[in-house]
Parts: sequence; C-alpha cells; structure tokens
Amino acid sequence: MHESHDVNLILSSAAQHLRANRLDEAKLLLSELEPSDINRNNINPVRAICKLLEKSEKSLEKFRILVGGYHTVDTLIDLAKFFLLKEGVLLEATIVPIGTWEIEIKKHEGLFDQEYDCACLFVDGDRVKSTNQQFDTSDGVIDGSEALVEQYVQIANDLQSKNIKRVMYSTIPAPIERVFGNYEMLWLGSPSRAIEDFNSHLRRRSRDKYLVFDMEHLAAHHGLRNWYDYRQFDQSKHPFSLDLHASVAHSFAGYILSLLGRSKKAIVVDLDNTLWGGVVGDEGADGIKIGPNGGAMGEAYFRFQTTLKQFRERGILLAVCSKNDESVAKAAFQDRTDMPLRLQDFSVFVANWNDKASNIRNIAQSLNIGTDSLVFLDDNPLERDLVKRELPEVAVLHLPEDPSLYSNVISTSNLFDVAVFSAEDELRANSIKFSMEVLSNDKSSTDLPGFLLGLMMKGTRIALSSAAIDRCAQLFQKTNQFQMTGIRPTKADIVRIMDVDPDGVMAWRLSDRHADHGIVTVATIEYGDDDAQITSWVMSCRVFSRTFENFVITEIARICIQRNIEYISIAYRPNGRNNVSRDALVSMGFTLTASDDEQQLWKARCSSLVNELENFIQ
Amino acid sequence: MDESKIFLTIQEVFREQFLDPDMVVLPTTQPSDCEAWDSLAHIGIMLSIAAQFDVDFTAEDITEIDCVGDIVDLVSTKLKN
Repeated sequence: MHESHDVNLILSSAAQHLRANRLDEAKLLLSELEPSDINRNNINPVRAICKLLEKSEKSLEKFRILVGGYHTVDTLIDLAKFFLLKEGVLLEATIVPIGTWEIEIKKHEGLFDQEYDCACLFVDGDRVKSTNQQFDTSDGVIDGSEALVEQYVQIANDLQSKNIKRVMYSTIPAPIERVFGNYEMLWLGSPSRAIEDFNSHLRRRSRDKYLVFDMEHLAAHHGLRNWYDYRQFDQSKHPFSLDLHASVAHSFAGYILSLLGRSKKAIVVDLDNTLWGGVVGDEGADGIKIGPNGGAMGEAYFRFQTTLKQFRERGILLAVCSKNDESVAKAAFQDRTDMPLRLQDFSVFVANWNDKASNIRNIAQSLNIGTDSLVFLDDNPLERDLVKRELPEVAVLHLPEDPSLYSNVISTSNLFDVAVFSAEDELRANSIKFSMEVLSNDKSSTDLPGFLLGLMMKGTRIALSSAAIDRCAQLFQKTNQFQMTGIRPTKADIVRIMDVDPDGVMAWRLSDRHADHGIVTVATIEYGDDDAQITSWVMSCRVFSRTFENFVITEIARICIQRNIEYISIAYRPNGRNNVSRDALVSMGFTLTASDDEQQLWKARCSSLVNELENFIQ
Repeated sequence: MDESKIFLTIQEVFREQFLDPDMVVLPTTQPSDCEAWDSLAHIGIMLSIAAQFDVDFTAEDITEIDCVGDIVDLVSTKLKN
C-alpha cells in the first residue's frame, strides 16, 4: 500500500502521460497501484484515468455485461472498468435501475437487442433477510432462502435462452447485527441464518447453471466492521464501504479476465530469499531457513511453499528462475526433504546467471504458453523491475519485505480465478513433461545494456577502516560462489597485507538507483615484477550479472599498469559451488595457462582488461 | 478563513478530483456545466472537501448543493460553528 500522496502523484503523472499519448509509460506507472491504494478520496481521479485510458487504447477486447443490484453498483463497475482497461479489456455495462432486476429482465425486451457476455446480479441481504418463512411449492415445503435461489435458477435458465451467454449471482455478506447473540445462526428465522442458507443453496445449485461471485468471502476477508459503512449507505446507497470498492472491483475484474481465458497458468519463482531464507550458494542446503527450525523466517517460507504447493496441486504450473549454479540450487531440494516443495513440483528449473527476462521467455517457450500467462515472484526489486520493463505482459507481484506476508500476496492476487474447474485442469500440471534441461544460452532479446545503464550504478573503492576490515573479513568468510581461490583472509591477515602494501587489499561498495549495497567485493593482491597475483577475491551474489566484476578487474588492472606490471594472474580453485567464478574468468577474458587437480592458473594482460572490458558502473 | 481562500481550495479539489490541472470553476458552476460532475463524482468531491477542511457534512448538506458557491457557503458556515 502506498502513501496517499504517492497515489495522487501516480494518478496525476499517469494522466499527463495519457494526455501526451504515452500509453506505455502511463501503464507502467498504473501497474504500481494496488487495490488498497484506491479509496473514497481518489475514486474520482481513477474514473478520470479510465476515460483517458479508453481514449488512448487502440485495440481493446470488449466484454459486455448487464448488471443488476439492489443498491448502488455504479462505483463498483467503474472501478472494475479501470482494472480491466489496464489489461486491455473494455467493460461495457448496462446497469438496470436499483431493485428492478426481476422486472426489467422480464418486461424490458429492448434490453436484449444486443448480446451480453454475462448478466450479473449483485444480490443483497435485504432481499433475503425476511424470507425464512416456509413456502409451499409443488415440490413440497421449502424454506424462503431456498425458494429465492430456485427463482434465480429459473431466471438464469430464462436468460440463457435470450441474448446472454452466462449468468452470475453474488453471494451475500453476513449482516453485522445479531439479535440472538450466539443463538443467531441456530435460529432458522434470523436474518444471519437466512443469508447463510441462501449462500449455501446458491452454491449448491450453481453447477452449469450460473457463476457465483463470492461477495461473502470478500466481506469476511476485510472484516464486517470495515465492510459496512452505514453513513455512506444512507447518503448514496453504496452497500459497503467506498474504501473497499476497489478491492471488490479487482476481484470482479479478475473473474471476468478468467472468463476471457486470461487467467494465469504458471508461477515463476526465484529461490534465495523467495522460497527460503538465505542464500543456498553461500550457506549451503543446511543453512537456508525453511520450516520450524528456521525460526519465524523458516515458518514464513514454509507457509509460502505450502501455498505454492496448493496452487501446483490445483493445476497451476511452477517454474524456478534463479541466479544460482544449477547443481547448488537443485541440491537444496535434494538435501532438504523437509521442504513442502519437491524438485518434481517444478515443470521447468532454470538456474543460471543469464538475465531473468531471457530466462522467463525460455520458460514460457518450454511450457508452451505465452509470457502473458506467467506470474513472476522475486524478492529482489531490481529483478522485478527488469522483468516489468522487458516483459510488461508478465504479472510481476510486489513482494513485501516480510516473508510472512508472501502467501497472502499470491492468494489475494486475483490472477488465478476460475469460473469452471474440470478434471482436465487437474491433470494439466502433471501432463507437462518434467523438463529439467538447462535452457540454452539463446540469443537474448533483452535490452540488458539499457537496463544496466538505467540502474545508475556507482562503484566506490573503500578506505579500509577497522569497521570496513570487519566487513571484508566477513565477506571472505561467508561467500562461496564468487570465491576465486578458496583463500579466506581473516581480519589479522588483511591488516598484515595492508601493512606491506596499501593496495594489497582492495574493497568496493556498489550503489544504484534502488539501494546502497555497501561493501560487496574484496580482493587481495600480491604485486610482482611483471605479474600481479590476485590471491583471493570474493563478491556477494546480490550483485552478480551487472558487469561489476568487469569494473573491479579493470580498476585492479589500472593500478597494475601504474606499477608497470603487464599481467594479472589468478589461481582459481574449484570448490563445487564456485563455478560462477570460473565463468567470470572466461567472460573477463582470462585464459587458462596451467592446471592440476586442485587449481587452475588463469592469466590476462592488464592493457586488454582496461581497453576491452565493458561495464556499466560509474 | 475568508471565502475567496475557501473558493481557491475548493477549485484545487476539483482539479485533483478530475486530474485536470487547468480546470476552472466559478461560484456559479453547476453539475450540469461539467460532464464529469455526476452524482457519484459529487460524493467523492464532497468527501474530499470535508477532509480538506476537516469538517463533517450530513447527507442533507451533500444533496442540497446546486453549485460551487453553495459549497463555499456550506464550508464557511461549518468553519464558523
């Protein structure tokens, strides 16, 4: 949720973009808005945006509805229009006057001159509260709620013989008043009981006859005290709080998108700090936090994995897209059998160091679905931004800082709605062959340079104060992936090396548009006569794949050139987890000059490093 | 607060509510003069004005508004009480 000031800024900037025909920019801004950002104070600006969007969108898919309600539904429909326009759908609604639904659809023949994709009735508590007397029908005696549902079944049948493709009824929120206290739901004549009966009959009779929009759940989700706003009701007949209209409209829009076949089919997830706490490459499978032994964080990730598992069992495909060594990432699943998600739950498993937008394109291809069917979950705002920019059709969910809230984000996203659920859906997830191939390094169409430039990264060499030395020693201790030589200097080692040569230990911090990452890389160097040897070098995995290693090696090469040193050499020592370091040596232009079982000697000419290596760091 | 200041604040609310920084309203401007000022928009405008001046409007207050001038009068009365 944003501050109201920020929401106003988003809305007014989006309006400016739209007036200047910059639709993509406007949409990128509007994608920041969450339903909870829209409340009684900014419904009008959102309606204004709707009008502008409608004008600027060239190709909109239409969805026509006939809407009835017992109270004001216009605001709900306007806001649903907003969420649908963002997805390229134009909702055209004919709203019959309040409370006239049953009469209008019988008497007003002109209504059906055009075709409707759906007729939607928002049923209301007042319609039902007084109905729980016994009714005598040809089928015997049934109660009032059931009789009302039967009426609606009949109406749904009648409507489907007219120009209407489907019919949808809403369930009814529980009333907040209780006159019987705890006996309320036990007393057949109470309003609360009548509504509960209505809802359960409505659900039971729905199969193949009509759709059910679950307003009762939405009210319960927000809480009845927040739901009902009698002051607003008295003034304008809005049946529930204006502050919750956007949330309901978002759910309604999600339902309509599902009717258009636009529900999402797969969830692409990152691993480190998204599926578990910590970095498996550094902490090992035993060190990552998941499950009751991982404290509060472990509980949070366990819940999130459990939720994803439920989506998987429901037929939503799961795919991994992680910057990791494949063997390291897979080991986490093989070693940690206490995780809810198993390796075979994922239809595609991509762990490499390519940019995520390219990987996501490949994932969509191997699942044989469009990228617009994907949802992307990553704790790193940078990765989210890249994917949003490169693949605006992918739904990129905003994950909050606290992993305890992750599963809530996915289950309230309204992205996976279903109108009908078949046994085939259940089978779909299993029918896609489990493909674990590492996706090839295809020519990437991602504009990575553009993205990296936009990050406005700044690398700064740090003067090594005592606190900085602590941090360097810590980096050496815990880094396992970008770990060139396996040598892990301690604090005392660092001080000793610096006493001999102040350039013998060098560390850099990296900052960008989003964050200051602090000290993220440190190296120790021994300067010889015509060869400088990097005796140790580590870099935090948070800053991989941004050309930062190129920046660092170029800086080191410059110092070597000042000292008339021609070559830099590195003794790379494989440890099973540091393949990424070897890849970096290759991409920086080092050549392998000697190797034995334990280590490989890599060498590069300083002048080529300075002249040929590209980076995007200032 | 004098009425001209109240009027200017109200004009600002209209601009924000309709995302139209150039919008000009007059004390005589009525809902019928302005396409976007329908009955739903009216509620949002009045809620926003109430929040802006930290006053409370009753249902009658809201329905009895015919033009911008009426809102200015209403706010000015509320602020005095």
